[in-house]
Amino acid sequence: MNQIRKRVQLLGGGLLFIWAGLLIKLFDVQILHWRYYEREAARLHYSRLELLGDRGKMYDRKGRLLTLNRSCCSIRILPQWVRDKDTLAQILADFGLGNFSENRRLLTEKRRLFWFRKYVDYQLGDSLRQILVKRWFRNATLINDDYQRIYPYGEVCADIVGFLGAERGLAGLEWEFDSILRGEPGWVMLQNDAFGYSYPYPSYPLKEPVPGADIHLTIDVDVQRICYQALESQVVNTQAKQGTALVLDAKTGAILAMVDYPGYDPNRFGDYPKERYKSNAVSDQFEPGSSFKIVICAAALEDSHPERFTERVYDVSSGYIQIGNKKIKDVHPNGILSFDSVFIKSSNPACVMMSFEVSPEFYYQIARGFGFGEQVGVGLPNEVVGGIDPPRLLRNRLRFATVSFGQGVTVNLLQLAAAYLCIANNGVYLKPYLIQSVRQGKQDVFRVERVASRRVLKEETARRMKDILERVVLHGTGVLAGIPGVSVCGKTGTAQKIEPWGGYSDTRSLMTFVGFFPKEEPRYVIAVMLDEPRTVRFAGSAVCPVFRQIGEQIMIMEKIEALAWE
Amino acid sequence: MTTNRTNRFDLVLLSCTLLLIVVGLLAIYSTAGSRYLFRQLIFLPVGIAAMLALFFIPRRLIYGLTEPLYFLTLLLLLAVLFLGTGPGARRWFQLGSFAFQPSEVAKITTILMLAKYLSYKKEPQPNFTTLVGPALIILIPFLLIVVEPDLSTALCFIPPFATLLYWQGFRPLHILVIFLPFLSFAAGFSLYLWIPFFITLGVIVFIRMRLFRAITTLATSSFFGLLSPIVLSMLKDYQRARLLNFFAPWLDPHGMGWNIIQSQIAIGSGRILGKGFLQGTQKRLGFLPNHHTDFIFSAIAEETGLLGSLILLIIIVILLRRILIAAYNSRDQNGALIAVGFATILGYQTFVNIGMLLGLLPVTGITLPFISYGGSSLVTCCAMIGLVLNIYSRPE
Repeated sequence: MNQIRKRVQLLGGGLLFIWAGLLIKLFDVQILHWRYYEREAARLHYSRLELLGDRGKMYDRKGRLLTLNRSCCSIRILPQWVRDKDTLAQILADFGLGNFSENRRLLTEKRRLFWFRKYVDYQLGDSLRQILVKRWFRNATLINDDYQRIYPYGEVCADIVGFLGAERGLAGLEWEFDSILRGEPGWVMLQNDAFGYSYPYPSYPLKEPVPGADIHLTIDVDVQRICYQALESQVVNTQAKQGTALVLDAKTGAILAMVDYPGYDPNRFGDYPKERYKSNAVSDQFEPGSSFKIVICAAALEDSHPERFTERVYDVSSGYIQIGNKKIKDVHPNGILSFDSVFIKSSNPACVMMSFEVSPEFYYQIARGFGFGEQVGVGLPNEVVGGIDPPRLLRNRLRFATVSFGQGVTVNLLQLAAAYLCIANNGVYLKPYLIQSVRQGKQDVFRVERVASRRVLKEETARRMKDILERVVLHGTGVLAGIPGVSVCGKTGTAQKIEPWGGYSDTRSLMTFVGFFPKEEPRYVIAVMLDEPRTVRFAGSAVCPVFRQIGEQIMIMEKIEALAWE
Repeated sequence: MTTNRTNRFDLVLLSCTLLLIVVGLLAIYSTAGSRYLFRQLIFLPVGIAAMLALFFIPRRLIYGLTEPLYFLTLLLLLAVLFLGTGPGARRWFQLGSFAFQPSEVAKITTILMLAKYLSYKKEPQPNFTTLVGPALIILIPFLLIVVEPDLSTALCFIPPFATLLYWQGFRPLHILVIFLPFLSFAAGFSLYLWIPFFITLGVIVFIRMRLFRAITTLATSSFFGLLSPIVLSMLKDYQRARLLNFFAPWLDPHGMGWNIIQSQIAIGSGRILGKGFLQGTQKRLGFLPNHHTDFIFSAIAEETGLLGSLILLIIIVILLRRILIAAYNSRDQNGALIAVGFATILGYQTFVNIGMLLGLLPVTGITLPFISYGGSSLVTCCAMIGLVLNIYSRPE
């Protein structure tokens, strides 16, 4: 009996020993390391599906949509997970996506996840998804809801709006305001099973996506189109490399149009060279030439003794002026000029004579007052600052002399237009702007307040300059810019381009005309630039007709709108 | 402790059994749904009937029928090799929509046979010639099941052999020596397994044996240990893979290893109180394989946590203790041996199953007694308990 007791005890002891092993391991897994196993379980069971917020839209000043979102599907394929490549290639071909052999080649050649098609019709994508689940290709294919960005106005608004690439905006406002337009993507938690299916679960957490904010622009598609057509015909006529036009609302500084020709179609941006993606009005800097003479003019008139400049005559009958060993010439000799006719005839030596009398500090102050050498900041990418020499450098007489007629400074067309806007506005500088407001739903996230304005010129100075600029158009270099029935003010500029080896070119030049109308209550400031027109030599005949065409058509448009209101 | 009352009844054993069956039914419902629950419920009356039958039938009659039953089982095991069905193996007789697994019945009849054989001889001297008979009794069904192939079920026959020999008076050391070649061969598949095995063996052998015998024993075991890598190296790649898969499925990390990871995730994420009845995500989302059969304990641990699995383990250990008490009280040598055999086989199955799910032991296809889905298994377990109740009630 004793022996049997011993045997039972040993068997029972063995049993308890084994059970203790199980309990220790159980304790280890369920108490000591539960965190690890729970995390693993969560990793296996749940997945996050990104929900795309609707991308914000852009509107012009009249509420027209500049961008559209078309719902569609995008298809990605994981080729290494495709078991039966022939069948999948056939299914895709049956849905009209490529042909069988092409699909098969893609499936066998590609090794990693790749975009099979983007922007497939939504209905098609949805039915394809169902078929793929049924045929067990669910793991190998990813069909996402997506949207395709459509730009209904194509080239006309391309430079401002830009375009959306595969992941984010790549140019224009689409690039600059990508994060605002994008909104916040949401997500939904899905439960996954071991067979690769996922189920959305009503009680599972969900974050609704926040749609992107809408951007309301100051541009007017009608004016954009007018500018585009005017530029198109003149660029073709003059065989210029390219042209840019800019229209500002003279009362507010709002940009009504900003157009480059040749442009590009943002719906097919891949077909165009990358250089066209930028907006030249803000991202192209150039030497302005004669149109910059308004600065020396303003500096002279703002002088404490303006009669020093206005009561004298400028003898430029020799056609040149000598500074050191350098001659500064006029295109053709102008004889003896009064103060006003210096600008009407646009005489370089006469401006140089004025520059001898003006203090560099004061000149610099006026130039900066006009906004030169300062970024406007309209919100487009690649905006250039331009440069004007500081007074320290302007003390060099030759340097100052060339700056006075617009060489040796760089500006962009928007800065130039803003300076003329300042004159049109009787000496008050208004900062041009492109974005009226940014709206999230019905609420304003951001709205342009009336831009802080500053007085640059005395009112009488501005009036005097307006008189001069009006006469430029009446019987000066800008005659061709005249619009019948309206008093137009403006100034031409022809800047010779710098050759690659240094020195100014005789044949290649950049022509500008900046003007505004009507003289008394200006409503529009229009700036036009043509790059290297070949068939004409002077700004007067190259860019002035563009200005005139734009101005006339804007007035016709105004009249039509006025009629429509009645 | 021994009394002469003839109408004692082990209520604790019976209630433990019924409790486990209920837990099993709930777990099957939770893991596989009502369809499987009903299929299992059909077998419950059969199991109860078997339990009652073995409780009331006089043991003398059972002992008398032991040999015919044993040989009938061998016939069935032989027949299933030709007529059986099963995934990649011949293990079951298909009877309509139900399957009958003869290897489950063999567990009972083989132990009956072994117990009867050993109880003829009172306290035999430890002599290896006396082992030929018992070894054959075990080996024939063992081999028949191995070739099905169902190595893991076949291995269930080995521990009862050891415990019955021990109960009959063999010294543990001798039993160890008997099993040494097999253990050594199995351990030889992996060097990391074999080194601790060999060191432990050396310590035991040199303490308990005379020098010459100790050296002989170690040499034999080294020989068998070396044999397995040699056998492996002689084989072609695919043969080696098949053999390894057969003898050591735990060495295949992509197949069964994944399942064990899933099982551990299920158990671990259950934590203390579990995710709640019917709430186990590992199970519901299909990450647990065979979750109503082999992996049912993981599902229970996931849904009831440490508390539930602890209670389950305690119920099983109480049940095994009651069976051992029945053996202890029995003055019928044959009956005591039967009870010890049943306790061993039930304990072994529970340990191997849960140990596998916890990642302690290699992956085998052993079900959890009373709990796992499967009619043959349920009826077999009920029958065992019926016989143990019989032995307890009438110790003579």
